[in-house]
Amino acid sequence: MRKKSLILFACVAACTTAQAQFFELKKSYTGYHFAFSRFDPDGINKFVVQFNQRYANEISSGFHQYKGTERGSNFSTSGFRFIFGKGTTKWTASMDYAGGGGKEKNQCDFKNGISQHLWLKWRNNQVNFSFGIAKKENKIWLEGLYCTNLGKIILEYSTEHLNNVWSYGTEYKLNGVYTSTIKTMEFGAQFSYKYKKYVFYARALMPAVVIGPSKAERAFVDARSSQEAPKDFPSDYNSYLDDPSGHVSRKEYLESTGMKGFSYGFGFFYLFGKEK
Amino acid sequence: MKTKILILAVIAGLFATSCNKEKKLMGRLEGNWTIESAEKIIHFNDGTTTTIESLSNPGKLVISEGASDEEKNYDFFYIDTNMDTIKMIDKLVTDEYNTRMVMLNGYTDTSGVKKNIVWTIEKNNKNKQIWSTYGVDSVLFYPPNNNNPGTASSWISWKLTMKRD
Repeated sequence: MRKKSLILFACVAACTTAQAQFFELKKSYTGYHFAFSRFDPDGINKFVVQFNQRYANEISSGFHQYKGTERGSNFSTSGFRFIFGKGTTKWTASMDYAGGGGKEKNQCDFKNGISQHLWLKWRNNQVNFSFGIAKKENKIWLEGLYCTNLGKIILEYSTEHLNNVWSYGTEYKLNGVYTSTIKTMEFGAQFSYKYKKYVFYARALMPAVVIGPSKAERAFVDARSSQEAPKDFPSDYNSYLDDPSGHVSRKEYLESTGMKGFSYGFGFFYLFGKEK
Repeated sequence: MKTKILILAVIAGLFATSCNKEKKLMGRLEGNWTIESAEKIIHFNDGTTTTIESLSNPGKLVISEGASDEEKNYDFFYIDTNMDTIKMIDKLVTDEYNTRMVMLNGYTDTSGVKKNIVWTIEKNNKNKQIWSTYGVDSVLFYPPNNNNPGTASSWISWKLTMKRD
C-alpha cells in the first residue's frame, strides 16, 4: 500500500510539469487538529490495581485506573494538496507530516504526606497520504487515508516530597523516565470542507499493522536508571517486587503493544497561495 | 514556491530544536561552578524540618567536554561539616527530557560498590544551577526502604546551589 501511494504521488508530481493546466489546485498548507485515540489499558491497570492493593493501608488516595479513552493529542500539520482532473468530479490527493502529543496525569497520595506521580505522555510523528474525490466545485473532499504513525510513549514516574520538589532520584525504585515505541501502519478516511483558503476536516484512523519494534523491544525501559534489575516498568507489580528475576524472564513488564488503537480527530488547515 | 520552502524550513527547524534538548542543557553546563551553598535537611512527615548541614562554599564542580554532546566529564570536590573531603571524577549524563543529572559512579557504598548519584534539577539557568537528591529516613543514597513511600516517617534531602565562576 505504501509503495502504491508513493507511485501515485510520483505520477502526480510528474504530471505537475507536463500538464500544469490539469491541476485545479496545487497548494501547500499548514494547520492543527486534535485527535482522540483509544488504547488497551489492561497492562497499566494491572500495575495500578496491584500497587494500590499492596499499599492500601498507607494510601489515602490511590492511582486511578485507565479507561483507555484518556488519550488526546494536539497535532500541528504541514503538507501539500492537489486537486486535478476534468469534469464535475475531480480527484484530490495530499501528503503531509503531522507531529503531536498529549499526556495523562495520575497521582497516588500517601497518608504520611508524600505523593507519587505517574504521567503517561504520547508523542506521534505521522506521515499521511490521502486520495479521493473532490465534489461541489472542489469544496467537499472525500478521501481514503494512509498513515505511517511513529509513536513514542513516555512514562514519567516521580515522587513529590513534602517541599513540593518532584524527584526522579534513587530514593524510590520506580522513580524514573521510561520510554517505549510503537510504529504502526494505519488506514482510515477523511472528510474535508473547503471554505475559501480554510479547510475543515474530520478523520478516523485504525492501526492495521505494527511495523516495529519487535515484540521483545516493547518494554518501557529507563535508559538512565541507576537501580538494579529489573529496570523496566512493571505491569505485574507483585512479581516485580517478590520475584524480580522471574518477572524479567516471564516478561511481566509493561509493553507498548497495547498503546495503539482507533483514533479520530478534527481540525483545520490554511492553504497558502492565491485563491483561484 | 517560497512559501513551500519556508514551511519545510520551519518543520526542519522544529525537528532540530526538539532533537537537541539534551545537547543544549549539557552544553550550557560546561565550565567551572562554585558550590555557593549546600544543605542537608530532614523532612518529617508532620511537616517540620531539621537542617543537619548548612555550608557556604563547600566545594566546586568542574564540567568539561566529554565523549559526546550528551555526555560530559565532571570533577566534584566537596568538604563536608566533618572536614571530610569528597573527590569524584567521572561522566555526567542526563536523560532525553532533562529531568535528572546523573553523576556516574559518584558514590561508593559500604561494600565498596560504586553507584550513581541522581540529581533532580530544581533550577536550570545559564549562571545558576540548583540540584537536589533525596533519601528515605536517614539514608541519603539507595535506601533499603525504596518501594513503599507510605512507611517512611522522614526523608533526607541534599541540595546544592551552584554559581558559574
